[in-house]
Amino acid sequence: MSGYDVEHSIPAEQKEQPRRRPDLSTFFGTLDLVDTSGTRQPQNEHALPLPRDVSAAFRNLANAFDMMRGPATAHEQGNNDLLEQLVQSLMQSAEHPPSEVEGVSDEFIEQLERVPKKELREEQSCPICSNPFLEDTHPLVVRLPCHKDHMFDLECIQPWLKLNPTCPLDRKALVKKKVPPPPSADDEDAEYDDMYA
Amino acid sequence: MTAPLPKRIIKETERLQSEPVPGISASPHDDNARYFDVMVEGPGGSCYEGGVFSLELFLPDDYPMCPPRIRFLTRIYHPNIDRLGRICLDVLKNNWSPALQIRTILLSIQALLGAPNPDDPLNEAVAKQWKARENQPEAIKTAREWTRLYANK
Repeated sequence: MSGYDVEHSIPAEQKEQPRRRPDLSTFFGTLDLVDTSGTRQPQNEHALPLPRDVSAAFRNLANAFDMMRGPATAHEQGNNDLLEQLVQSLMQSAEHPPSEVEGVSDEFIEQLERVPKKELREEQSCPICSNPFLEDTHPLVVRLPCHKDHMFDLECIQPWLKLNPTCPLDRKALVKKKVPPPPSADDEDAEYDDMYA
Repeated sequence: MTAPLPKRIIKETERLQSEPVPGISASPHDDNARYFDVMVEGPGGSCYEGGVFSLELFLPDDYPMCPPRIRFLTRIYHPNIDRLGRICLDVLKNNWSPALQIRTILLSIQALLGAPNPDDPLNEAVAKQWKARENQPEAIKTAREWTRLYANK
């Protein structure tokens, strides 16, 4: 099978960039603009992140991965092909941005049921990191609402839920379609006064 | 590139070696423990029977939040695998879950060989052959032929 560069007729001199770690600060900056979960909910309940901001978040991440690719040595050719796939899929998401980032809110994560240490058994382990819960002297374990046995280290489940609102074990959706909290009467009065005083 | 290897990856690797899945092997590179050489035997009774297919598997930095990246290195005639060896399989994309592991993913790939899904094709040309009733015997014959030619032990 011919290599990636041959298939895509990439000239050899393009591969000479030095490898370095990507700087993700621009990505997280743009992610802030499009994360609408929980308290990040915009004031106007119908407000959606601008598609161009969503695009930018994906594009920034794609660029960061692209930089990570660095020069191809014969040995790492495979990794670079895979990274290239990732970059392409991100760029595709940037071309056709989803209207919202889907993860659960910070409040949802805070409200998950905590499992007390004395309830945990020796043989139970976190399905994500596969370490026994009790290996940690101060385990911080949460239980998802879908099943009593679906327990995870909080630290492990959090990054997953921020991007995917589903249980890793049964894929059940954990949140209904996002409903904005009803504005309290006091808030509305205050706003009214502001505008017409 | 020198971040310590997560314990989960170490454990998965050890278990792959100590309790290997029948018909599947995966061994990490000495200089990159996130990069695996994988061998999958074609399932018995399928048109890939008798073949040994080689794949590459890479665990990205955010594994297990993101699925492993997997590609066939051996040429294969299959409606869900394209010319570059890329695989169309739900658990490698939208249906990934961090509770899945290298071994479960490789079993899914082996199962995909036993049950091609031409309705969700990655390789249009192959899928078209596979779907048309009158062409299917021909498609299966080609798959057998390619297995014999390229997937030798």
